[in-house]
Amino acid sequence: MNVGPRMNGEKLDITCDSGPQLSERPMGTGKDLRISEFIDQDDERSVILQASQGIMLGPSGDERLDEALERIAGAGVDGIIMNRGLANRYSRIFRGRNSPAMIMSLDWTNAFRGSDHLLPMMRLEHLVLTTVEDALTLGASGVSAYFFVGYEKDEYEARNFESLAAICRECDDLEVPLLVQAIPVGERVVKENYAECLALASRMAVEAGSDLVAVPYAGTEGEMKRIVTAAKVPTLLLDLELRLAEGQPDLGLVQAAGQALDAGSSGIVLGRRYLEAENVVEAERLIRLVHGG
Amino acid sequence: MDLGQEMRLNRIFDPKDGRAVVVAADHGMMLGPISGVQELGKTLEKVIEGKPDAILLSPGQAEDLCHLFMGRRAPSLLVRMDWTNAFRDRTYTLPVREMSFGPIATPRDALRLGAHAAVTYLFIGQEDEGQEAKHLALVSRYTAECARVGLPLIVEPIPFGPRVTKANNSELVAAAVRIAVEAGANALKVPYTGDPESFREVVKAAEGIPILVLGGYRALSRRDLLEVIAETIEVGGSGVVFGRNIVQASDPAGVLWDIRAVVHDGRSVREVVAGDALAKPMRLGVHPERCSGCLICTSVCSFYHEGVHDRNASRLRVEGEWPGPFRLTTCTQCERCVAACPKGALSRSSLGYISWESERCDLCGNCVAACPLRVVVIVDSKVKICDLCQGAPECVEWCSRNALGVI
Repeated sequence: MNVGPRMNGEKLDITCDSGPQLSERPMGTGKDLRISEFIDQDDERSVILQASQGIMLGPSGDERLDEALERIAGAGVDGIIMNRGLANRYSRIFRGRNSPAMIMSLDWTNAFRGSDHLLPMMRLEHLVLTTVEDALTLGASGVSAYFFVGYEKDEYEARNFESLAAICRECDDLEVPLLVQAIPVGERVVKENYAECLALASRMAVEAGSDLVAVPYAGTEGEMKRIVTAAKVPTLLLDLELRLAEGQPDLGLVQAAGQALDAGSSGIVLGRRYLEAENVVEAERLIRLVHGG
Repeated sequence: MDLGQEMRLNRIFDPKDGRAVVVAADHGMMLGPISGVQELGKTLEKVIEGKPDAILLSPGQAEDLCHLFMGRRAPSLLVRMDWTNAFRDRTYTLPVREMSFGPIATPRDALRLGAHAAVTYLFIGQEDEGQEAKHLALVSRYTAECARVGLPLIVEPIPFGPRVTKANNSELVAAAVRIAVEAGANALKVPYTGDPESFREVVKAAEGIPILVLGGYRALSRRDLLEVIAETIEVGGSGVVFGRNIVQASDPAGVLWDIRAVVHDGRSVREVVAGDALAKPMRLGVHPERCSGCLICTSVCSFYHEGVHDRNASRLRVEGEWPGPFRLTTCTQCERCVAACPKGALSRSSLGYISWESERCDLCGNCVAACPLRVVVIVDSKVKICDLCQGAPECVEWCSRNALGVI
């Protein structure tokens, strides 16, 4: 089966020609094992840091990414989302069984270029850059992809969903867990329908086959609970550092995280502001909030 | 080495010292259900209490026993990709007549199973040299495929056949090692040559590729086993892959603790054998899924220390409503309470457990505040801190469901 997006258009032939073709056998426990590398087995919760924004936004300030990653790894995050280029450079952050797991970001979008960015977003674009196979080959424990609803043109949503479905199939094929960040964007999303849009986006991601979803704060604990329950897979609170739709509710992350956990969610995906030294104390506070102690 | 291979190898070889303690439990595929692997899941549960860095399994067992490898504290998974009848000796039901071997899985299969490395044999010294060529071709294909999918390949080079004699064995091991290294092995699993001098030559032949020594079928005494390990570490070995000496032991975790002490903690064999019971780092481990919520542990804790059954004075905590799930919280021996005590009333004794001196204590409560798990309590002007019952925890002893253990 070759449905995944492939950069070079070729299927990798790694069958062993003198032996039986066991790849066809329905085996597969790799997903469970790899998920357990970034979801704590005792409390089934996780704190993941997103350090992949550089490919979408450029560098932030005068960051020293290597130092920042070591700092946040030391704070005890369970996983870090990276792009392939820097994952390669900073592999030492992920060394050994006690380090955070590497989760590879597969795609790109201009959605996070806000009004203060050099090139503010004019039309939402989304693109898959890396294959699941490449991520696995580079040692990733999981992969991450975006799914947006609320595109200006319905065709764009269809295209995004198509690429997501292809990623899901490749993840099933290779036994790699997939985290989908499901996000409502655009002018059609308003305060009244925000939670509805969120529920739609996350449920679509789950039905396509994602193993975990991350969603921004829904507005109330009740709405969060509805989304978590409907998702049926572990749901993480996504720390969106930017207002992406009119109706996106604003609540401090600590408060939102408390509500999300009460609503049954399985942890948080921290934004890149937590790479900054001044925010590490708050990151540690959030990690304690999620894992207790 | 590629990034994926490097990252996965680092989950087997501890990045702190570059060494590994691995348990081989793939015998069933070659020899059937020999003792120790009959109920492999049960055996491995005991093995895992000894904290091996990785366990080697056949693909079928890896799929079946996946749950044992979940979580960051679990061992890493190694999957064997080939099969041979070479180890069916004259005493076996079907002794080998013609030595055979062959692939039974691909690197991609192993990766899909969640393996952190794949393992293959490489035999040299057979009468039919075509066999050696065939095996080397297989290993070469494996190395190429493994590199392509980011999976480290551990090769097990073994001299085998009538041309191998006692006199040429160690030289043949060194030769086989070098062949495997040049074919592209990322790590090696090598038989012991019998003495440190010849093993030093084997290590030299590996050109820096890490070598794990294997135990073989001989049941060694615990002391002999540790001596062999110490000798190989001394001349540059990177650890062990032991099978029957562990899975057939009555106390696999105990054997592993001793092996870890030599491999990872740099302790001498004499130290380990003498100081067996006292010096092991020890803490309580929990299996909350097994807990029935009977609360005997909390009760027996206060009874052992205070002579009364008072769960509030317990040094561990069980939370949850019947029928569960229950949350078990035990002291992790992190010593934050010791560090937080301004009066020096808390200390870790020479015997390895934390003790409290009432004369020095002014009940300031800093230890209670410092405990991240809130298992330190003050009841009746006494500080209650888990002292592991001086080395034989009563809660572990009394738990009928094995939800508590010593790790």
